[in-house]
Amino acid sequence: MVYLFESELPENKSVSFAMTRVFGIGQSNSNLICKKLGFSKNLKIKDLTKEQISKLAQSLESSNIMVLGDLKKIKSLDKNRLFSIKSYRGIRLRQGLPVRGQRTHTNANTSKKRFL
Amino acid sequence: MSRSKWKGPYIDPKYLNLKKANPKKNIYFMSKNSEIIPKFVGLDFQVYNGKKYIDISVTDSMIGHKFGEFVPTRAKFVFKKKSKK
Repeated sequence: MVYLFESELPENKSVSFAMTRVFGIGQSNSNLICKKLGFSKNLKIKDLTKEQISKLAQSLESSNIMVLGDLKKIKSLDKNRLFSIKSYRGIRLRQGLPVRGQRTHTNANTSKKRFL
Repeated sequence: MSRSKWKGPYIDPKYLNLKKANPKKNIYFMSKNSEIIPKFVGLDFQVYNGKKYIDISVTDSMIGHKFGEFVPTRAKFVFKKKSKK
């Protein structure tokens, strides 16, 4: 098993896809990193050598991509700022209702899920 | 779509010269669609929400938002209480 930034990477998946398990890395970011390091799309996690794994971690740390704790902190700070100035978005976020003017008579389940 | 940058923030032209408009009082009636700029920080405004005027005192962190964001226009939904018979 390979652990990268506190998250488990699935063994039988390709590197560029498995990297998206890390919070804050999507497909475009992981593709960029793989291109930089020269990993092909067929390279799977179980085939990685130790050097390559350390290279992966290094390249993530040196890049400007925010992951895990930093990202979560900034997100929560942004939400708290919106609420502290009592803007409409902040109030709706606290109530667990949609922010961008969607209907609430029915639906609106996604925003309720996020609230929990 | 967001407003193009070369136009700058939208402010109601009535309120561009604040000192001339009302030197004694700190309260101005503001349109909801105009943006808060650093010039407004520390001033008190009254903004109409369609029914009555609501007081807003502008702080540092409000810069870049619009006045309408701080003025809820809809009543909050509350269940009716049953009257006792």
